[in-house]
Amino acid sequence: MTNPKQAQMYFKLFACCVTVKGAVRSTICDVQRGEIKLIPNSLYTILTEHQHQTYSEIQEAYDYDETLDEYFDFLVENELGFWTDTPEFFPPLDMTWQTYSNINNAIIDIDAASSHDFKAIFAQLEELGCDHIQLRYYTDVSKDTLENHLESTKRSRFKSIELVVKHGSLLDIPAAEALVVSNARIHKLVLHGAPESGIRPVMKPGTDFSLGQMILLSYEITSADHCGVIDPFYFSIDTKTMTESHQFNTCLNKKIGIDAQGEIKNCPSLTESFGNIAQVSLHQAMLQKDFKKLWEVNKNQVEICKDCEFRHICTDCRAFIQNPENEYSKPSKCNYDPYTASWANS
Amino acid sequence: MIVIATRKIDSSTNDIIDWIDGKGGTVVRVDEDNTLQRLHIVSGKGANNSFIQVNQQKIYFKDIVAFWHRKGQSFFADHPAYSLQLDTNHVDISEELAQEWAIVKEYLFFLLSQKRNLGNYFKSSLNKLIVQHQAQAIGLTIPQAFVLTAKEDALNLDLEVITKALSEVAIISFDDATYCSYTTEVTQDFIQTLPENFFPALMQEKIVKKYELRVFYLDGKCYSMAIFSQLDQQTAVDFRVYNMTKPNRTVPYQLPQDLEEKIDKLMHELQLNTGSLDFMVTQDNEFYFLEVNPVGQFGMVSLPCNYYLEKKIADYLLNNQPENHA
Ligand code: SF4
Ligand code: SF4
Repeated sequence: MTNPKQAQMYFKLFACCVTVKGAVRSTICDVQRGEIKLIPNSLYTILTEHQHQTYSEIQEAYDYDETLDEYFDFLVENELGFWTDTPEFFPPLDMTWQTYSNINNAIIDIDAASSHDFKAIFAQLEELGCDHIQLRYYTDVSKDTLENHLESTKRSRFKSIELVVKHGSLLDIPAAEALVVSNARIHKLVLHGAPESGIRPVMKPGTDFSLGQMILLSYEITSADHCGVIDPFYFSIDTKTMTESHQFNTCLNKKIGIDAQGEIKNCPSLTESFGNIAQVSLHQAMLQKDFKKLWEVNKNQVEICKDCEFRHICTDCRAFIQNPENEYSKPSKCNYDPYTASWANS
Repeated sequence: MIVIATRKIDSSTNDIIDWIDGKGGTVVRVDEDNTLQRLHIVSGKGANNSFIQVNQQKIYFKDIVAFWHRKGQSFFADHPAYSLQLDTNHVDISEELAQEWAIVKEYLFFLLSQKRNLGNYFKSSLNKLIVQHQAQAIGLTIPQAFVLTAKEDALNLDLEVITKALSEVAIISFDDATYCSYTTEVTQDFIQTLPENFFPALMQEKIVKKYELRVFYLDGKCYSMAIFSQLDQQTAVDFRVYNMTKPNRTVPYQLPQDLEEKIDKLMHELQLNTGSLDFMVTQDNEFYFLEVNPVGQFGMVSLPCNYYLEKKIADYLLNNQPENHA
């Protein structure tokens, strides 16, 4: 290091760049810019165990190893951290996660046999303070029927609606797009069984203002068994997931599900039902003893995941797990092995 | 009941209403374009019957526990009867009515200020020069500043200066272009182009900063954030010129205690229980106080620092004891 002043300085990662240690390598999760950087565990050690030492102290501890400068240059060049003479001014990110609502998000499944009273369900969800809803249609449905189901959401407090709908004779791509345009709350529409796969932004007609996103899938989604896939594509590198994952389950916390038969569950893919929506209110269901039992199962407790460098940006599926007898076993639809740092081909 | 006076589109208001709702509180939201439909104010005996009516809803003063003047022109601005009468061609009458109305309006805000309050309607815009003066008296360091009108004086400045608006940032459209009064450097070349005498302008010592601070102050506590705008030349002079693809690093910051105490003192002097303050920190760790904004945007501090300011504000309005979170 050429700057003599720097010798007495401390290196700090920006608080939004959070280090997560894995079995054989680590990540720096940049929750501000939504990026991750893979780093060797030796650098993790420098950034954690040696964070209270000055540059020269670290150099001394490492016998003036040249790699140190390479590491620090890499971190500074990528704007992940900085040198400071006042490290006490820069506290780490507080990992507290809080919410105002009893239920934050809901999944409602619908197939040809479903007979949900959508207006009543949405009213109950609003009552619980729910912000985000996802509706998954496994069988053909027309734009008119969808609009009808969603009618009461137009003047609701929901912040976002995600639709998973089937492409077919009742609903083609332009109709699906028109649906996103017609309801400001729909921010994402997944069209399964589409002629091709791809992602398309949906713009407000005649403008370049984005209203949401349409995701086309060439395969069909026929039931709740399709859920639970773990893939880097679904990683959420943000403050919410980062903080929530330290204490809570990143998928099931504050979630409620209604399956295609109307059974109220934590999520539609789980087996345990807490009553049918035809007889029991959502509020009554969630007051039952075991309704929240998975809410606090977090990645620091789950086998294998607890050694994974992606655990604070990854979803934690509890419906599909390697050993159904063990509540803490790894999600079965994950192909990653943190001990070899490799993804198996599925 | 908590009354929030705000604007139709303000996501911070929505967030706080969510937190108040979640804690079982009742909120009445009044947007600036809502019309005051009816006034019924009783002083002295029967004051319990005082109410205002907005959105078909009677709001009794006795039911209001807290009032937050979040944003916008007050909802009392366009009383229909009042605007109707202003259509008169008699200027004197209009002026007289405007003055009459101003007294009533001030009284309404006075009544609301007797409740638990966040923000201070009477202080919703501050004089930057006076605030700087007060800040210095309290012991905060401020950049040297000049208000000048003569080219000669500007040329004689022996330090690098910037200039910025003394009032709010203005967005001005003319000749098919839109101009915004961002902070800019004043070069000698630029001063040469000025006429001998010009409109009073603020010239402020240019501070070479290591980073900027935004401090959200709420009821005696400071929630601070450092902004590393210097990393990026595009935003080095004014942080408001955003870089979208690579946002500035914004991280939680712990101010030295003596500085927090001075801020608390200044805010008391300004009779503000909330606001956001701007500082610059130099290479030598000097803290230069720049200004206070009484209606600060706390969302931009709350999220990156994970401070949950929306919840803290809701708790304040609900008069909840702050929780110690580990
Ligand atoms: S727990 Fe698994 S199956 Fe259930 S919603 Fe989450 S990812 Fe899907
Ligand atoms: S091992 Fe666990 S944490 Fe890692 S990617 Fe798979 S599911 Fe996610």
